[in-house]
Amino acid sequence: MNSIETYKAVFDSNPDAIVIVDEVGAIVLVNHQATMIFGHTRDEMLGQKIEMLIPGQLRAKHVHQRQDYSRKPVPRTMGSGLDIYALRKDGTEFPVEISLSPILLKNKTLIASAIRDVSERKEREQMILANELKYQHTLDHMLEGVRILDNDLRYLYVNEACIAQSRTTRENLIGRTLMEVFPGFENSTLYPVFMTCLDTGESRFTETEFVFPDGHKGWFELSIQRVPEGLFILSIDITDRKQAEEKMKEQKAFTEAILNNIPADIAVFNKDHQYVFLNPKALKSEEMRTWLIGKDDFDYCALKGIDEGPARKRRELFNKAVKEGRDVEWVDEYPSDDGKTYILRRFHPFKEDGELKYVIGYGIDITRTKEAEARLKELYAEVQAANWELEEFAYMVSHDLQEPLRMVTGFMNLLKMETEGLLNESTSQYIHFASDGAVRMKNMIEDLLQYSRVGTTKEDLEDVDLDEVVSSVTHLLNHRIREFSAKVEVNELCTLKGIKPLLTQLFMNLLSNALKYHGEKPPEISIGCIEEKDHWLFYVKDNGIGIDEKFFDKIFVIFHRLHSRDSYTGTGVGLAISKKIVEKHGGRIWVESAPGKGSTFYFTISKNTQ
Amino acid sequence: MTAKERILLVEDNEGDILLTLKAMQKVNITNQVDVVRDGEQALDFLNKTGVFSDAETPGLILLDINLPKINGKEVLASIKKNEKFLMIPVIVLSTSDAESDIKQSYCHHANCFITKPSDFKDFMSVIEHIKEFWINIVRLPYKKQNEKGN
Repeated sequence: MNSIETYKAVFDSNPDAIVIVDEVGAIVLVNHQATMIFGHTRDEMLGQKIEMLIPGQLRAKHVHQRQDYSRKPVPRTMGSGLDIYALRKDGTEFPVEISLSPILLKNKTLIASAIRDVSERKEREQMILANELKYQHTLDHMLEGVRILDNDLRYLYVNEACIAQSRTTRENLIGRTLMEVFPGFENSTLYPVFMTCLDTGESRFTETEFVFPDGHKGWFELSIQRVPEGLFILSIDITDRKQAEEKMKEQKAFTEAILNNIPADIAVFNKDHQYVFLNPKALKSEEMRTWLIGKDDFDYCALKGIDEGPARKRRELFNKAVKEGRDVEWVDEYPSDDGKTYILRRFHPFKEDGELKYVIGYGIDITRTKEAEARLKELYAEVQAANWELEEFAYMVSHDLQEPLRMVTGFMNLLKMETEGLLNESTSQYIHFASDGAVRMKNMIEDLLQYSRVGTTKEDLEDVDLDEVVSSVTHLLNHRIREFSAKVEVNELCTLKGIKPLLTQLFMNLLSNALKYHGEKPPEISIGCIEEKDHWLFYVKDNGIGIDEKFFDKIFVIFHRLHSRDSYTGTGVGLAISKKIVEKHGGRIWVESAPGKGSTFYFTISKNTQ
Repeated sequence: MTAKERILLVEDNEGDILLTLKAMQKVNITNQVDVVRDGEQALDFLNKTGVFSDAETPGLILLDINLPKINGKEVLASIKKNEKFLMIPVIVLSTSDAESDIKQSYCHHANCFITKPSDFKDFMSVIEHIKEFWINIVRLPYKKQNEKGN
């Protein structure tokens, strides 16, 4: 190959298109690449003005530029930064970079231009730019606050969240330093963190409470990154979370304070009866409390080398509470310095969404209650004994009073018999008053005896059929019922635990009263009972003379009478005895009445008479 | 007139003794009545010891329950444990109507238990019934001593 051919080959294989023009801009030589990028054949280009390759709107300007260049031709490299476009044969334009180099020949100067198609590069650049815009958009709208600071901590970039978190405006941030925006920032704990990051380039992550110039406080989580510009700082406002945490901490402290100071043992178990929590009252030693978590009573017994009996008992109670899904209560006894300590304990199954979560164990010291209870029992026994003695005394007295009284009545009778016809009117009246007084006294003593017997009776409780009782009472009072043409209506009664002779007497008293204190109309009496939760309520209702409200209490007092002996007989013991009988059956008695409106006597009898 | 059994009245209260004797008189009980005033005397009388060496065994005993020294129940128990006397009917006459007194008396084989009415007329009626039953109807074990002689 000769040298001309070599040059030609080099010329044609150049990756840039090469177009050589003469002083007037006519194309004199093109290489292969030039035909490739412009779409013209060699022949189409040769002899034509270079402007054929220039887009129409630039052509006139180019002629001037070319002429200027011809006058002072200097080599010019590519990458001038100018955006230059070339024109293809098909009319499309494309970005190019051009270098120019004058070729000085003997008689003329040619200008060689190397032309490179940069469409692909330009496209890439466009894409990168678009991407950058896209990322910035993302940054702008991130929920986290983003700020980019320069090395002097001057704001270069802030996103919207950052502006909101900083409690100011964009204008107040951009171009100003942290120290200007937040006076005193250099004294804050963040300042050294930022500076260290700037110095060492190490990323930092920190949580801090930030106090704003207006006094507002907020908690932030900061992620600090060294970037070429300075610092890239990502911030999350965690004030709400912190406040919730604080609240939870407070709540926890509050709960713990209660649990630690409550005068009761509290232990929480998982469903396998292992300790989850113990308060100091339940176990004093903190070390032991910590040790016991996750363990059970048997582990404790093994550690302490103590009998497993109580632990087994508790396991049974625990299983019972879990199985039955309800509270199980028991009392533990411990020997103490001055007697015994009693702890009332309870297992309380604690469920969440119907599933057993924990079992809570409570223990309350009831020693004092127990002691008080025992003392009360003692006192009650003492009172009962005293009461019994009193009743016994009343019985003895009334019994012994009968003897001398018998003498009085006996000899008054005898005197009356033997002096019949011998005495005048007034002296026989004296005898009458004396014996009448004695008879009354005898009746009272008998009533008193009966009254005291209600208290001292030792009859056992039995099932008493009150229908039967009342029918026997009405049978006994039959002649009086007929005498007064009384109507006695007995509604269905019940059978209850009681002392039959006393209950018979009770109905006898009330029914005879109802008959006795009748009004002008024939007596209408109704007897019935109503079942209540823990007792029976009975009534004996009449249409008799009634009782004034002010006497409602007095009528139940022994020997208290509302009427003169002339109008109604009796000592006034019937209702007192009735009251005692009712009270002995764990009930109470009262009356509802008004004068002329009849009376209703109510009484209750406990279903748990003892 | 046939020989009458003697009646022993065991009663500490003079008033009651008088009332009883009066009542007996009023209902025409003509039997000889011996009166002793406490349990000890009653037993001495029956055993014919001490001042009662001349006593005659009664055909009927009226016994009060409330007696000094040895009480009525003890006297009753002693009588009913003694082969010589256990056949003598004992009428317990008492002011008591306590169930325990009644039951205990019968446990000790009292022949009957009567609560003394306090009204004299009622009492007289009781004594009259005693006369009707225990004296007129009932055949008693011991006759008057002199019967033996006849």
